[in-house]
Amino acid sequence: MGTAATAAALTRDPVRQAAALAMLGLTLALLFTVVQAPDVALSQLGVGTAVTPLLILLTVRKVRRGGTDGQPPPGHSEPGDRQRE
Amino acid sequence: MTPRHLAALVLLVAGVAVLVLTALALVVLPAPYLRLHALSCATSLGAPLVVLALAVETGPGRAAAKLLVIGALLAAGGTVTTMAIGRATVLLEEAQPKESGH
Amino acid sequence: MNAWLLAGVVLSGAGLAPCMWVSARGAPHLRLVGVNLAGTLVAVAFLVLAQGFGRSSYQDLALVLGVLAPAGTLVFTRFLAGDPHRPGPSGTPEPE
Repeated sequence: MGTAATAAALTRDPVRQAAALAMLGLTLALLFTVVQAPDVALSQLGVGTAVTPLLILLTVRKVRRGGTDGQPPPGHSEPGDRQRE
Repeated sequence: MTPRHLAALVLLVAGVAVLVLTALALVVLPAPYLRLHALSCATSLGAPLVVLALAVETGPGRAAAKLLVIGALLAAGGTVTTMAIGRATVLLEEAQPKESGH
Repeated sequence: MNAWLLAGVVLSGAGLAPCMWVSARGAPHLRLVGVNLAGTLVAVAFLVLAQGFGRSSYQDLALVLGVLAPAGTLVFTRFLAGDPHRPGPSGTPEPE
């Protein structure tokens, strides 16, 4: 769980961060189940697996479309996009 | 009771072994299409084996039927997502063929 | 500590660590494979832990995850496959 959280915190690109956050939600739900809290795990599954990556992806799509429609995008390959591993 | 328990344990060990081996294969295999093979193997072989072990342990009844429904749901969802990931991989590799060698 | 709990520990330990490794490296569509396999592994681990704890209500978690994980993955693939080809507002170009 700590590894997943660290990976999610170290990821910079939002699309890759959505994958890392889905991973974090899965491990967190598993942890909640092991400590006998299945209702918390259920809500964590709903939020962490489906809603959070969906919202991140919708936001990224809207931001990129706004950039391509209005003005030329300022280049998506700045060095912050690469993951610090 | 003992033969049923033994059969459940054998099925459980086989399913867990398949799942762990596919997880290791995900790291070992380099190309994205080979990783898709590992993914489909896990969802269509490993998960139904474990679910079958649980159903054998539970015995006939509503609980076993629910377990089998969950197993069928996992297998169907895994197959659909494997096909979707394969299609996305094909489209992305066509768009940027420099991403990987295969 | 019966066999079911041991299987759950093995699944969440030895099975989930490679998925985490894969889902933390590389391009987004390569990470998606790791996330998807992790979803399957966690669902199976839920089922096994429900048997191990002796509480059959924990199986509902696996049921919910079996519904939600393919939905999230399909959303992700639709975004990944649709975005670089057609940045316009008319959606993804591929047939169903």
